[in-house]
Amino acid sequence: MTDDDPTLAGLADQPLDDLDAGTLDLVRSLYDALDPVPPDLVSRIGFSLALDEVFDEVAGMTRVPPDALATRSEPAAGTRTETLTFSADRLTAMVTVHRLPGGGLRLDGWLAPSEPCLVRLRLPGGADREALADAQGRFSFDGLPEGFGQLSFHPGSDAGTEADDTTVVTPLFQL
Amino acid sequence: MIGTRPGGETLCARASTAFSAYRDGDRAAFDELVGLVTPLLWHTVRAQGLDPVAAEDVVQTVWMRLLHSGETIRDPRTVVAWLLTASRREAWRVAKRARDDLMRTASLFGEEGQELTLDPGRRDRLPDRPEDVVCREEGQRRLWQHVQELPERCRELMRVIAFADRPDYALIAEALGMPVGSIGPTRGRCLAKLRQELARDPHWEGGGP
Repeated sequence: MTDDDPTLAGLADQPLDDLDAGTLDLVRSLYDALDPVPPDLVSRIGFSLALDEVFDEVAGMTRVPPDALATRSEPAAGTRTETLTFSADRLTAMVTVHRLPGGGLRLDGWLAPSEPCLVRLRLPGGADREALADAQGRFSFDGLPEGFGQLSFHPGSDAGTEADDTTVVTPLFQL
Repeated sequence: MIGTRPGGETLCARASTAFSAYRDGDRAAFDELVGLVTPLLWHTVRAQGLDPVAAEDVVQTVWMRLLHSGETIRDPRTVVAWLLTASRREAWRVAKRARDDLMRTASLFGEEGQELTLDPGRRDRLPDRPEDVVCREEGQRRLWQHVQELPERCRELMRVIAFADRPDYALIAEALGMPVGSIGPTRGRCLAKLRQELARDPHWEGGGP
């Protein structure tokens, strides 16, 4: 608003009153109706925060837009593939989730830099799953249920030993 | 919510109390904090143009970062400002990343130039045309129309402020990167503009300025 409307300037300099309060209440109802907070968001946040691990960094997460990949390969009917990237100072991970024809999901991941790394997948209402990234940084989880998951990466660890001070966790994401 | 709540405490004050309690060892207070501030963060992130799924990711990421770096916040009274700033920054990062990925893919596959203008961060934005809005009443449709006509930064401010308490307006506006005086204690230009437009609308039954 770069106009020099003196009425507007005068109106702007007055203290907030009850009419403003009423207007903002209406704005609130408007957004509550149009774009409410997803009803289960708070409980999902609760799950992702109830992490029993000490972690050093939270990875930023980006979903590769499906329309960006659509030209490459149109997925067959009934299958859905989603690609997510996680970036942290210490490592970068790319994960694809495939829906298998026989039911269940498969998660394939690739980690850089490739070094021994324990990867743990937390699932709400299920037991944690673990995998070790191979020499090329690849890891996978099979037979996953639909829902949500949260990954944690433990560089320098294998199944026996765990180094807390380098752990990178992801937010809870939709599988 | 306008003014203070029945308990006499604003959202920011209650968030600050909960955050202090959490730092003193009360883990349940963190959940209370999440319940209090998540609506504010949701609207902050959605106002940046992220689709709902990406917006959920951002809100979750920000809460995990607070859990991790909470001790770096010296004054618990600044926790809401910290969360708002972190949310805007992460939303901006995600939107930029999604745009870059799309550009890279588009150039790899030689798509038409017009597709490059597609902004993936905004593909699921709220409807632009008031007739697309499923509103129960005419009043909401009119209000939506007037809010849509505000400059983008004002729209963001109005949307987030509407979920806060009056004594916190100035602090929240500052955390959203708005200039001092954008709102609170005075009305500020964004709300003045909305008020003026509503007053000029003969079909709006909200009273004059």
